[in-house]
Amino acid sequence: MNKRSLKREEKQTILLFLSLPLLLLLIFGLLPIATLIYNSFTDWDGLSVEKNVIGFKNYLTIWQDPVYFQAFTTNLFYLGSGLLQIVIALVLAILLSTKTYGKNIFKAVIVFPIMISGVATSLIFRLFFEPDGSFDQLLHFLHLSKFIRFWLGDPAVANYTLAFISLWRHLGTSFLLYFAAIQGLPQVYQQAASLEGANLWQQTRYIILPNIRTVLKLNFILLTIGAVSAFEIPLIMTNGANGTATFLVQTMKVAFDQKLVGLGSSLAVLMSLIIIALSLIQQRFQKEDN
Amino acid sequence: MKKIYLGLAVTAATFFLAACGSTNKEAAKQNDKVSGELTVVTNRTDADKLYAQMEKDFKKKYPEITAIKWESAGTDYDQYIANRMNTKDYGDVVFVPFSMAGKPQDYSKYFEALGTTKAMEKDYLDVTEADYDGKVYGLPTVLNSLGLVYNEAVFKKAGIDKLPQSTEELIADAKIIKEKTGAIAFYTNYQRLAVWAGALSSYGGENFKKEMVTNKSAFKKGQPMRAVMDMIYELAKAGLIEKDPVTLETQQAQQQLADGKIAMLMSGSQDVAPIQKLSKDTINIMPFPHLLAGKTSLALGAPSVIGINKNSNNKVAAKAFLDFFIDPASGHAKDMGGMTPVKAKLDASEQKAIKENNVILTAPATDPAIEAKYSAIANEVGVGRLTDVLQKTVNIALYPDQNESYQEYVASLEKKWEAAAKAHE
Repeated sequence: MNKRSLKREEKQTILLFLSLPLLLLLIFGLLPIATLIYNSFTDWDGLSVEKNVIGFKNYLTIWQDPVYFQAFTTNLFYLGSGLLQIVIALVLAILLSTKTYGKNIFKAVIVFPIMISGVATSLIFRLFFEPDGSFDQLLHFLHLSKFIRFWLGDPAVANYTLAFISLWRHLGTSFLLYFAAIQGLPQVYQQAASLEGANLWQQTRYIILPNIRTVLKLNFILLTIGAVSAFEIPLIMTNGANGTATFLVQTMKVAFDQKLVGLGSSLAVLMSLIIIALSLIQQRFQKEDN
Repeated sequence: MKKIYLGLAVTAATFFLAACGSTNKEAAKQNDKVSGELTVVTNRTDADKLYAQMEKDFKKKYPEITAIKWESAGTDYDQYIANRMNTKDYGDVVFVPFSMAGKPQDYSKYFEALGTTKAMEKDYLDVTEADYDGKVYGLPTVLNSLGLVYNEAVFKKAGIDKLPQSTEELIADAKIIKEKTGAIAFYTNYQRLAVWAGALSSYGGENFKKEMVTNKSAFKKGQPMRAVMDMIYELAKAGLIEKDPVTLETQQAQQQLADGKIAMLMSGSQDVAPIQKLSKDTINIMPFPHLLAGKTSLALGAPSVIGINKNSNNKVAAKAFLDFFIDPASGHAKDMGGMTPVKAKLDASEQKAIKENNVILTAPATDPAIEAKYSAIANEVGVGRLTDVLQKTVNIALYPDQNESYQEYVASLEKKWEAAAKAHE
């Protein structure tokens, strides 16, 4: 690299070009984060002009009351659905990158849910899962009537239902990532392999998987973050009732329903720290891989 | 390079001019005539037609008004306006967020005082929606009564001719309705259970907050929150509510009430007219089934409160507009299916209803110290909004083997309340 010091003019040009994005980053990126961290050390209620700094009291409260971390057990359902999502998306992406009949229709069907807003999704699924709704009709049709439950009401199944909706909604994202990566592979590899007589499984195992490793890793990180921060589906569908409150839903309730913004901020800070820690651990593992 | 400097200069100039603009605005003098432009911030996004008509009528009354700018936020208005109130720019006339009731001492920092409580009480109903220290900072835009909206035909078919006056009677009636008509007796409105907060004063009297704070107890049998919880629990346990509360939406439920498939639901009088439109039966509203001093109560409350921004520089016009807005002539009260808070403008039937019933305000005047303590305790226990507790109550009733028992739940809430009340002594 050329280490000669930059001319004054060049420096100015760089500064000029950087100033606007930097300003935006400061105002909309860093300032809110700093405020959040500051709030987490106060007893602010979200409205009052008064904000008292109370040190680590919020964090102590969280530490002493196990209730707050129990919410993470709900997040496990989303972790499970996330793992399924990775596998299903991968299988679909591999199948659809070969010569398949009706390829474009399938692709559209898989990607379509990403484009529907979260609120619309919940409305659709509330209708879908209501008693005698479409899903129950389907079960009747398949002579599975005895399995019918209140899919969103019954605490024993509500989390599975919600995790399924999450899977349906986010499958397209993973699929797109895999599909793009597979499309990016040089065709000659697979052509050569099939000339040698490798079947689809062997091609997948020895050509596709090793070559899309980066995307796989990326997906794992996204999955963990997604599972830890699962939020809108439980919030809109069940308001976190019936044991469906994930950590973030709980955070929001503490901050805005209970009006304990200070405590809510500390929960948010803790969650961010957990996500950072998880990503770091993953990166460490993956480095060892290489 | 020159071009870059030129660009920089232009940018700087823009910023400078913008800055000038805002200082100019702030320095503008108070307008002491009813003229100029007004900005009105409301929580209704569905009232464009009504607002347009209001604007026309108001301009007719005060020709010097040049324009009214309507700004509104539909979902979560309280959060929206609370964020905006961190600046000085939140309209001239503005709907006061209810969440501020927890910190009434802050009203004076954001809103212009409209008068003393004593003086205003003579002319207006329910002046204590937004008050502090003997001063009123907001007036109800309209008064709605709260109660159980019901389908008279279903009650007639079940042979019930007397409205229930206690929880036991309500449950007995609900059972008869289920048996004889097959209708769902009671719709819980699971997603919007928070509205029950307005019913508490009908169950515990206007002083219930003081009692709950000073006695350090809130969930013993008969106390207002417990009474509401008990009622919903019994109804849910006896299978008198909708099949799956989580999935039945309000809109659908109102249609079903109109069709006689649901017998009653808890709501405000503003919902009676729209449901009536859907129905061939008579839709009516009854008071909560609970007697206070031997009479059922007419629970009056405001769905929204209107005030004036302290930083407005067109306060005279804003006051004129506020008076106009709450007057029946503006058409707002009628549109909301309620009555005007202006005493002199009440019609005969409204005056009669007020005379004959126990008028109970859903947001009664409360000593600010008590109010603050009450919200602090309630928030700590997690019952500041009733949604979560009541949803849990429904869940316990419907799925007893997958939850703690109702008694345990109530006891744990009572314990939390006691502890929080001690901490806030």
